[in-house]
Amino acid sequence: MLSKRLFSTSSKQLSKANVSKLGNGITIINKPSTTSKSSIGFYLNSGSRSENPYNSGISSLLGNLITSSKSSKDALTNEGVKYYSSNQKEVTGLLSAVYPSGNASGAINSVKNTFSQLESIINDSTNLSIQKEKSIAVTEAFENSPKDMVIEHMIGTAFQGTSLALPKYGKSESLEILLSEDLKSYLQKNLVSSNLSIVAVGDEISHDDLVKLASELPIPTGAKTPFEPTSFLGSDIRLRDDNLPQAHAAISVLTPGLTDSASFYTGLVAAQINGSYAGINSPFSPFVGSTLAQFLEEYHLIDSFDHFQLAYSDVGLWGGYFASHNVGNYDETIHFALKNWNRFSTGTVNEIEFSKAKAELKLNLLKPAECPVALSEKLATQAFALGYVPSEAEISAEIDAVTPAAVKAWAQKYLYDQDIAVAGNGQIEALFDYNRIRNDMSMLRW
Amino acid sequence: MFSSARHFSSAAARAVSVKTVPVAVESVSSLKVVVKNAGSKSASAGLAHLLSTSAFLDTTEKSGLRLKREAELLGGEYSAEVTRDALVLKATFLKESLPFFVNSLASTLSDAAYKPHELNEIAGPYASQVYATESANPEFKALEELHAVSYRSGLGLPLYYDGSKSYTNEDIKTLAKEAFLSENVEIIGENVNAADLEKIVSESKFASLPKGNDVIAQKQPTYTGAESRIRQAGKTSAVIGLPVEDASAYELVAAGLISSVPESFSATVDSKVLSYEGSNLFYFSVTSPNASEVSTIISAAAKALKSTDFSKYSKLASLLAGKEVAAKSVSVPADFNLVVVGDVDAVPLKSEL
Repeated sequence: MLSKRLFSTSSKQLSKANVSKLGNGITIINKPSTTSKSSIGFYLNSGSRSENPYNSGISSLLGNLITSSKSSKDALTNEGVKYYSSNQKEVTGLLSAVYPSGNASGAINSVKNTFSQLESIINDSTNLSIQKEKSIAVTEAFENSPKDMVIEHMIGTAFQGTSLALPKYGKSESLEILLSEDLKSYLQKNLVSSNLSIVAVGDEISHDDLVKLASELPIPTGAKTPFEPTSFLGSDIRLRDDNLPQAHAAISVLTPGLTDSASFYTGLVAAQINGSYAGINSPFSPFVGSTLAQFLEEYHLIDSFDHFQLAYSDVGLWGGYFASHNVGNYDETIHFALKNWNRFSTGTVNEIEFSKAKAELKLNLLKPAECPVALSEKLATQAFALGYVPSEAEISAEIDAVTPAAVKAWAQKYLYDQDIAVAGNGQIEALFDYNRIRNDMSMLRW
Repeated sequence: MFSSARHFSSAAARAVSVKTVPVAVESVSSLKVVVKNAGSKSASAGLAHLLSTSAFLDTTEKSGLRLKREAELLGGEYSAEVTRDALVLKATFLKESLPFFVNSLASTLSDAAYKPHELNEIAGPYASQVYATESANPEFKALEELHAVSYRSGLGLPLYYDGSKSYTNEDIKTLAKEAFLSENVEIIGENVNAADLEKIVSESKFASLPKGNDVIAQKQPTYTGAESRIRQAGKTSAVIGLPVEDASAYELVAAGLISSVPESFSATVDSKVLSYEGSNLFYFSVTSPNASEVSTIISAAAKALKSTDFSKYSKLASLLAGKEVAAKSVSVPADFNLVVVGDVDAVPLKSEL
């Protein structure tokens, strides 16, 4: 009996993430993986939301400094360990070390070495000025990617005046003036035990190894500085550029954040009902089942679109992004998309669309991550916001629990006749003014 | 179709090979079907790409529309890709839909209709779109040219359909008939039960694919010492490459070159060994909007290629190659191929490197 029991759980153990919180507040996560590369990463629960208008970009600059430091180069050439850094609204990937299987000790030694040199890394003024320039180049490159750019500006206008509105990669005018001193005080405030998560993906570093590593690193004990509260304002921002070939716009409403998991999953299902449309970038575009995609394609009103449920710890944004080269009729693209959204409130989404959305959402949320770095960032984000990492079975159960009635109730509360945040870029002459778009959020005749 | 009595002997009776790999997820499985002899090296230029973009459209039993809608409802997605060696069909889906996707992949090989309007309206335009997107990238263009000068025919044929030839749906049908033989087909299942997969495959149309001789990887004649320079607006890309015998030795060279060229602000540097059936192609590439930077880095790489001791880079090589690479000494031949795309005047000639 005993052996049978062991076998029956062994496949579950393969994929389960272990999460624990140490006495001093450091969160330790490890998840087994079967890929050829593994990683060990250090994540701070700060991100751009912990910045202010005068040091916007400091989290990503710090990551760039670490990944371009001498100890990072030594790790790469001598140990075969590559460093990555990342920055999101609420999570900073300070350092994520990817190593080939069989080299866990090399990775652990490298990150220890880097942590011991952290002070000299931020004091290296030559590298600082190079990385400032590089970070500014990243913010400018970001402005050239219309989809990322309009979504970032949409978040910016939605939460204007609060730190959640600050761009992920910072702003060139604040990056320019940053000094080593700023980095030092930022680290003092944010690199503290209860703000840190150490995440290992792969089979070679065990939970105990991580606990041991955490005790050996010079991480001061301290409490996390809570995020500044945020507030949503229905508003729009337009960056008209007639040199671009298309019109781009992103529109969203305010929803609850990650902690309200019932609303979060309902929002995800609602977003998946219309899903995304890839246009000429997929041979199967003419066949997609989404009613919105069929309609917009038939009338040549769309190149590509996407629906999303963005979520932070306390708030979220639900909406869509639309790109079209049919700029003269772009008002119709937006009008019909928003009229389609009205269906959620009237409860006229049919059974088939609903089960399609749920099946596709399960696939999207549960398919294996492409690289260990993306996976560890996801694990850290969930652990910070929720205090745990939901298992696959829990995610499936949450999706199954979303009923058509729940979507209707959710839509009537958060979507119907609600204020919107709008961002537009490109040839947006036909993107109507705020009030006319806002009018489409409700119906004259139910 | 096999009768149920033959399940137990299916592995012997069937020539289609089936493999399974474990993955650290519970709910999502994926299937990869690799069809050797249906890659771009085995057909007239571009035809194999059109064959891949014609996958998952109408079959004699089911329309492409119905397949897409059914897959959406089950929570699954599929795609087809052409490589130089093979046609690769992929499907990712919720675990319980395994039979549906095995059957769908099987019928796209055995029953595809290849209708004329599909080539004109879907497969053709999509293939051209892929080619246009990829060739806007100078590094892709330089690598294509590197293949062309290193192999001339076979592996030297273009990967994608570039519009230089015209084909009809009958050409595609003929290629499919020649290539979709059971010995050419390998099925790799991730996170699926091996016995289940074997059984479902043996009952699917994979089992009734016509038999044919296994493809023997033939050694390709290779060429070094060639130089090709293509003028083009946009970024500049330079590639040094040569066909090599010992792939793992050149994984060390790739690692060594990446770590020895100067750091740069805007340039992207890449070095790999592309392993094909019958040959491996090693390359080092640099791409930048700044052509003089390309010139500096490619010169440094050419110098490092001659003088570096590559045996010490086994750890970095293991990371880059994603597999264990043992340290060994490498003797790099003096001659190589050079391709430059973009502002070609700013980059030195091969004789000057």
